[in-house]
Amino acid sequence: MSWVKLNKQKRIILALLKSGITETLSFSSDVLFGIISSGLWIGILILFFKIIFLNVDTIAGWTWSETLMLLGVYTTIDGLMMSLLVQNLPKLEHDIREGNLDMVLMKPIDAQLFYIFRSVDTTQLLNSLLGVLVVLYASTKSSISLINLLLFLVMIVGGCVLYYSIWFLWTITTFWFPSNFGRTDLFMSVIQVGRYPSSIYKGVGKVVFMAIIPLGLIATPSALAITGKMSLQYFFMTWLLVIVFVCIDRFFWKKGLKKYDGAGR
Amino acid sequence: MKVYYAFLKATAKSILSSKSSAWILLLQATIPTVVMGYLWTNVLANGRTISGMNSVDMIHYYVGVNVVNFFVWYAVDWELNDDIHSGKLANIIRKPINMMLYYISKMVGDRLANILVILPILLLLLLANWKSINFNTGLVKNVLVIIVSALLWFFFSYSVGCLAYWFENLFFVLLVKEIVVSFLSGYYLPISTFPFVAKELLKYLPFQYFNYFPVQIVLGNKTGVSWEQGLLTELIWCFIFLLFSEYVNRKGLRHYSDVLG
Repeated sequence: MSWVKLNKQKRIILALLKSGITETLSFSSDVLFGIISSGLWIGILILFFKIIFLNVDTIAGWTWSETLMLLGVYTTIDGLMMSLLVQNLPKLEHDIREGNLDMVLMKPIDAQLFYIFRSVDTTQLLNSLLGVLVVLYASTKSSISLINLLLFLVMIVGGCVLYYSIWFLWTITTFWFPSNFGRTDLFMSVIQVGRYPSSIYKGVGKVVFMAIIPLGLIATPSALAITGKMSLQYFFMTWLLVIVFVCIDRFFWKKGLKKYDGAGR
Repeated sequence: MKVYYAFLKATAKSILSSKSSAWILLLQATIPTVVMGYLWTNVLANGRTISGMNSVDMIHYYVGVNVVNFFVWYAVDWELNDDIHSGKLANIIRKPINMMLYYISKMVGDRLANILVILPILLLLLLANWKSINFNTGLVKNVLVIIVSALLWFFFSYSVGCLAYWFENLFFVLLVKEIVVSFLSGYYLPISTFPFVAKELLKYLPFQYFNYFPVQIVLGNKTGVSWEQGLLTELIWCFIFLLFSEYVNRKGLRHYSDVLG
């Protein structure tokens, strides 16, 4: 890809982001309810675990402050990815099903990239902000080295990519199974699996949630990294899966585009 | 009634022609339940209990919650929001039908079709949890509690959905409602694990009757209120929300007509 083309894509993405922010701010009631829902979302999650920790000291080896860190990380990643994808991937599903993808394929931007930045819901970023605050609060409970902090940031990126990859892959199954029912709803209820410590999974659950649909690797690795509990093997295994999923996404996207005939597929 | 039966049939047919929706609903319920199973097996390992519940009780509870949800939680508020903002409502209100009965018949059609699709799974669950289900209160009583809970949920959600007449975008309002109601209805945690004051207060509010109360009745667990008292409270709340939703809908329709000009 040439520098000029990259620069052009960057300018388009910036313009899309700007329009997303303007759109959000024009609905002040949305911002207000966004703040309330963000607070409730993370508040109820914390309350849920607090009630459990009133009765036990650890959950599968995770202490209260480590679990709090995990909740903060999950909420940060979830808020960020939701802001980018909550409107775009359902729209992608709709466009594939209704045969509207042609218009996007003709735009001077990679279509996969377009469906990340097409319409950014900045209200969702409030979740991320609260998540960051929880991470900051939880990090006061332990000392964090610079290397752990760097690893944490690297794993956050990995978690975001994995989050996107799983949702994207699920969305583009529309090329082959163009049903108009609940893909997004299913993803939204399943993604919440990511907020629990991955060490709770044993046997088949471990294979399913750590490799086949690696939802357990969205937030846990970052929380392990910052608390200094992540092994090198865990680091490489997570990133290997991230890369595999990105490749699978691209492979099926290209396959899907070949299958797409612009008339309902 | 013929016309509502036709709506019911049309909705059921539409669901049955695309069976994937029922399977997606089933997966939506199954995966979080499985994960909850893993979580509580870890939390309540070595025979530990919370509010007298061990890990097996907890797993039964979450299975019960999701089965009851399957019958009760119908997203009429999201549907109303869509219909109002897409303009589809204009077509509905022009017809000589009662708007609320139209949505109720759609809900019944939707539920019946979904039940039909996943009947084998429901039967398997029933057989697997045979011993945990309370048949002492009688099957009729269990079914009655679930039906009244479904109606209560419908009237409550309908009232919330009517806010779409005034709100440009109801997404976050509905999200707030889902989070609060899920928590207060016992979706995340059994209400028996809540502090005493919260438990007492929730007895008189409608939320626990969406989920916790019917689940505990079906499982034959203690709910803190008797079956009759619970059902009476449910019916009172049903009546209150029926009146309220009719009122809000009437006000909203006037506003909607104004907007349409």
